[in-house]
Amino acid sequence: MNRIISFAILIVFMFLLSRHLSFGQIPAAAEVTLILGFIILTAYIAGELFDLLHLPKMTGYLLTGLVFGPQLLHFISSTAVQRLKLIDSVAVGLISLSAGREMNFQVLKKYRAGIISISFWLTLLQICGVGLVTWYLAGFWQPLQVLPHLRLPFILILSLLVCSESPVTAIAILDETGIRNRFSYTVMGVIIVKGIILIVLFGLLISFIKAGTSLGWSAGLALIWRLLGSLGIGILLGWAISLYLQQVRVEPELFIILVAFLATEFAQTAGLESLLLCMSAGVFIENFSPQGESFLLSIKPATPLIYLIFFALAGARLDLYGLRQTGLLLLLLLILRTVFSQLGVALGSRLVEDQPLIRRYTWLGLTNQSGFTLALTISIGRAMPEIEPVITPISLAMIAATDFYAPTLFKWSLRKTADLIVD
Amino acid sequence: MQIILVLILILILGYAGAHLHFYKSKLPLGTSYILFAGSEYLLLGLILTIPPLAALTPNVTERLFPVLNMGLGWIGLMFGLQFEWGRLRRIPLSFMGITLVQALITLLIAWAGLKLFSPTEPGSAPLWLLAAVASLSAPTCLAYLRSYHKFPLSAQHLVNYISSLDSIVGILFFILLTCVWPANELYCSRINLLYYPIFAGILIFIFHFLIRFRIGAAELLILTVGMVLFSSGIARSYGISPLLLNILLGIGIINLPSTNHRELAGILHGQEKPIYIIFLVLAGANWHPLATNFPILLIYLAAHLAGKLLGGSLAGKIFPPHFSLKQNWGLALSPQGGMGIALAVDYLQYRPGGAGFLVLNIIIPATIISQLFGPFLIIQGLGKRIDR
Repeated sequence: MNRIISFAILIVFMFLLSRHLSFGQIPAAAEVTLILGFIILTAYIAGELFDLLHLPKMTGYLLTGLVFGPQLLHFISSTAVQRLKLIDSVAVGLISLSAGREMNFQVLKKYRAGIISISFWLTLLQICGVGLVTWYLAGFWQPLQVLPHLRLPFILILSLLVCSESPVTAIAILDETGIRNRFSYTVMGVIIVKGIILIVLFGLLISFIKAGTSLGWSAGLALIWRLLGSLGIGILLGWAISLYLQQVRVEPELFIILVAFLATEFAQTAGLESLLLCMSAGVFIENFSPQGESFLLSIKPATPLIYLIFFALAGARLDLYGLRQTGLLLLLLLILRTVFSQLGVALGSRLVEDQPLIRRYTWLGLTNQSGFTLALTISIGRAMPEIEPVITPISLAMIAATDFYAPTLFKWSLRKTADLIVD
Repeated sequence: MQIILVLILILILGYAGAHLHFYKSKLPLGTSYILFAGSEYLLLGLILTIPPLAALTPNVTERLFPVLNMGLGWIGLMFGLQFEWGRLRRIPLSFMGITLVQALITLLIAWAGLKLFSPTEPGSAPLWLLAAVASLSAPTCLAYLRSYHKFPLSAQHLVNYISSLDSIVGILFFILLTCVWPANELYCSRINLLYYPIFAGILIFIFHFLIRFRIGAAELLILTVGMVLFSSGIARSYGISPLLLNILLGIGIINLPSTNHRELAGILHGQEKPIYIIFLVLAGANWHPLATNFPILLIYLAAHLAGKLLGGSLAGKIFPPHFSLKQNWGLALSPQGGMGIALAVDYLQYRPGGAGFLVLNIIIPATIISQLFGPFLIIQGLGKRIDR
């Protein structure tokens, strides 16, 4: 009750402030500080209320950002959201580092057959299934029609995008519930293996499409750099963090936050995959460094706050206009994705005789599309500007849509499989 | 490339810092205290603005202003939580009298010194602000020395009390100052004074409702960060001080019934260091050392020292405590700390440009110097060193 009263007072107070202050005229730093504080307080309360309803806190954070953001109530301006991108870099870096720490080789070794089989069949069925259906529809359905010579690349790239998942939401839900079992390791393993497969496929595809042009070779080289560079530099980063935690130990939390931020910024400027880079650093710390525990302790206090800010800002950036615009096509793609996801998981796990619970629920953990899909979309925009205006709205709409239901589905499936233990 | 250089610098500094930290007991007292107080982060901030690193460009620094505002708010909230009525009631009246009188005398002496001897007229507002900052003391140095020295207990208690609370004089003076010389014509200066109780009342109400019942440490941290940012943002939007608004928030919260007071203080102290370090780095990034400021710096230091010496002595005579004090005990109040820098940063955001930079250019080196000599002055003021 206290929180509902505080929530109401906060909203009324902010409404009065936004009426009295004209945000364009006050210093930008003041506006950003005020908005960030407001987002944290309201998103926190919304998250708690959602938790009471057994829904993921992050859905509450997302909705807070969406409702108070530039799309609906305009308490948060799009300029302010842009200015808060700095915090996004820190959040993405830290969440990816945490995601990497979920990759304990000792544990994953036990489930590798399932992870590899599911990843393979899932990727194959999703790409082929989505590709064939959209290819067929593109012949007569206006939303899928592009210039004839761009039809094949468009369909292939669309299939790749539909197939992609993001580890960010999954790791946030895992941290929120605290559940670690065979199911959670399988889901995280599949997300990461599929991520690597998709980077390779995407690079090959771009090289193939642009074959014969100078971009063909450079795309191939960019792929190698993107993949191996991210992995290699990530390992170096993991080693540096371990060394710091072992030798220096001065303000470790501050050091890790700073490194996460710098690594993300560096990845963006150097053409690397920031998620992969930070994740491989996390994997190194988890598996090859005795400092895994102190690493976890260092970032633990800040983790809930980082998730909160990250998802609330993501909510403020959600593109409702895009959702409306893409309408039927979005619905079709989501249905196709779900159907082939279920089929892929069922086939992959049946072939290695995985547990029935894994077979039944794993696809529910593979529905979110935020960070990684966005990174792929940006890369597509750079490599193929001719199809960028068609692909980007679809991709953003898919991210927006999955952001709403994916956390709930994953949390629910985690509850359903909570009895599974780590072998 | 720039990012890699910064990363390497941070790694080297971190490594060097850890080793210096380890060998701290072998360093001279002043130097080891400077490392304890974190002044090296001011220098790090300064270095990060110089090419080829130049990672903290004015653009980046400006984008990080929310963090700077949060630092100000955090310092303010921590300071405000000290004003618990139950605790204040137990303190002898003579202590309160000495605190106020010595701070006011130091303020006046510093103002007179700067007014009379400054080779260039820094302007009325910066001059009063420098005088206000000169009246502050910091308790950290005494806390640091206590593990090495045994001071007379009553005198130590008095100095600790004064240096913890006398900042309120300088802060209130700063608030009056910003109302006399408003930086922004958009807001009426007298209305600015009204904003403090109005906003503080609303914020106290909201924060109290949010934390009145027991909640986990992670949740309390989220709410505290959110509230500090929110109140600092409001303050900055209305041209008032985030420092004072958060002090009022702290005073209000600590004096309302809640089960979370101890946890809140624990959260603020637990997260103080990282936030304080970032605050110092950003303050250092706004520091532009100029040779022309050097004479004013010397006058400031001399006036501050003279003010504390004379102020302490006179205040001790006007409100004699029940124990004896050395004639020069006021020297023990001379070390300064983060609050002075916070006031200067607050002023810089309030009045960006020449006057703001001048104040920061004086206060940062003055704080470092006072930390360098502070331990010796405390030993001189309170009594002979017994062992180390």
